[in-house]
Amino acid sequence: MVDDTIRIEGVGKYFGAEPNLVKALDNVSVNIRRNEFFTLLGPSGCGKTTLLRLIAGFESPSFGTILLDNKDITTLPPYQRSVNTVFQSYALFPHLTVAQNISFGLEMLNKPKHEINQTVDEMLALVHMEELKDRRTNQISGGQQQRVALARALAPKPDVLLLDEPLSALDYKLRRGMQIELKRLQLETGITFIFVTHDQEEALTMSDRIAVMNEGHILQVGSPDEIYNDPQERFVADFIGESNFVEVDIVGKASGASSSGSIRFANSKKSYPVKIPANKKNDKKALVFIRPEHARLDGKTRGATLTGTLANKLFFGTDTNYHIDLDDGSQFVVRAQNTLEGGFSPAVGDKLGIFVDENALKVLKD
Amino acid sequence: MAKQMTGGLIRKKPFSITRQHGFTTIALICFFVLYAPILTLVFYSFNAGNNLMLWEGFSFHWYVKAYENELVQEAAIRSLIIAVSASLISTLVATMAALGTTRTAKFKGQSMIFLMINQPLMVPEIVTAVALLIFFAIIKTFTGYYGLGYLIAAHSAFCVPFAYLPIKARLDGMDLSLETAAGDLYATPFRVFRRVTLPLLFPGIMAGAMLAFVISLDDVIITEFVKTAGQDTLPTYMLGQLRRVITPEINAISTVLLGISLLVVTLFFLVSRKRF
Repeated sequence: MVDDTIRIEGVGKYFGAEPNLVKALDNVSVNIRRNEFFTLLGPSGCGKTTLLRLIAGFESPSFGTILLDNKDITTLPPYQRSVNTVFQSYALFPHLTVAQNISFGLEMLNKPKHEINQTVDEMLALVHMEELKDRRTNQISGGQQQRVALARALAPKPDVLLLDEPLSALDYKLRRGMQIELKRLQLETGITFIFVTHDQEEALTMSDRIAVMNEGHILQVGSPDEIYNDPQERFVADFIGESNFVEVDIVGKASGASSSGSIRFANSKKSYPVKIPANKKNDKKALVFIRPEHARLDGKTRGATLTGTLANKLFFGTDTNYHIDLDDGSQFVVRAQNTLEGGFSPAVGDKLGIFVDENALKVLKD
Repeated sequence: MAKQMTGGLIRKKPFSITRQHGFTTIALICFFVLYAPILTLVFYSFNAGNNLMLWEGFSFHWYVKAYENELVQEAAIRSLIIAVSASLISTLVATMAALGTTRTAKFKGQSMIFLMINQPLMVPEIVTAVALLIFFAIIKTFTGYYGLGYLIAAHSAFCVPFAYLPIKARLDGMDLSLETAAGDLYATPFRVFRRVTLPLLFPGIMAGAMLAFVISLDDVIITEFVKTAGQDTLPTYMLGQLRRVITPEINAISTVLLGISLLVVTLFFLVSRKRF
């Protein structure tokens, strides 16, 4: 059995009343494992921050149960939960010094003085802030404030650390540094991190598992690899990375419990064996998703999966994106790695064939 | 000038009122009207003679005279007792009102409450004074109590909005997530208030108390109506003196009052400017 720290069971949060009812979170269930770096990823307004606030206890759910270490904490106030938060605005106490900010939680837990001092020193060392411990929080930079906020939340050694888009106020370079720092802190402290972000790149690089959210629902939970390479729904595929969507005919029906079947592209005789989602078993049409880097371009069109004309080329340094107008008028992007040898380099207006292997074709649920 | 405006090639300097003709003159006239009478008053408080318009040499005579005047002493002490009590009471009430109007979920009639708290700023003071005179007269006949309590109660009431406004401004400018963060770090609601809200609010409370103190100290109208015989405060004592012979003693008392007000108002600005 997997060891879960947090279990969210059928939790919903509605705001307002009937005509203007807002379902910020609607019947969400998810388990978060011990010591994992778990990310809630989604566009703004998807409910990710609401879920975080419910776990912290700043808000109470309209229905459902939240368990921490198998203990129901749904109705506990924030100060009785072994959960700490790193706020987007940091929310450092401006009337206290760096060290006093870090010791705040420990003092509130009535820890003995020597233990508080020892932990504060440990935390200052952990975030490399020893020299600035007597500064006021308005006398340090944004990146330093970020580290104090982290140390303050980690000092009481909570079971779970919640991070609400903590890197969004930092510039690109600092952000990169903090991503590595966060990952290091998580490994060193062994605390479960629940991280909220709308930045898919950040989510992919840092997380053990990601939950992709939209409109108050969790659409898919999985490792970064699963989320990127095996999205179940169009929204997930679209939100993370670049994607092509092509409508296809389902030709070979799967028999019995087997999920295999085959599909065919329009104007093509070739059929491809693929996995068909259970809810698509009886449908004639389906949506297939292809990553731009999983398709290959060629000057010959015979035997190609799809054909079209090159409309645009975008150079990215390591790669080039080829934008192709397909014969049916839709758009398709192929991403190819640039090599020094040059290789195949089509010109705008060329008629091209797009070749896709069958294992790069994913049939989506919707 | 005209060329610049029509030609449009040279960018016109942004409009600034300080560069308009006559600005300096108007400003000087305003300052003169504001400060000349006060300066004259202060100046003649040091007059050696007993005339308000004829300068007869420098002296502290009238200050000593005022200090030795038992009526002035009593009035001054009474003024201080009332101002200190009223500023303490009104600040306490104003702090609770400010917390109630900023730290709770929005409720129906919140703007109505805001108007009611600030009522003394809008109702003509003379109306309040007459109302209090009649109201307290009723209470006096029932209780038989004629003490300073009435003045303290009246002053406390009209000082509330003056204490309330700086405190509310401070709370409005305070990031709510600080209190949320304290709660997240295991502070019970009382400890959140004690360790985060109150220390951050303190400059606002001090500013409110000082403003209330100054307002109470120089009140005439309400005091004049509410006081019973022998309950003169410094301002009402001075008003009483004006009906008789006017000597520079009045100037001296005024100057001292001015000094106290200036001191408190300066402190008010220093305190309310202080970030943390």
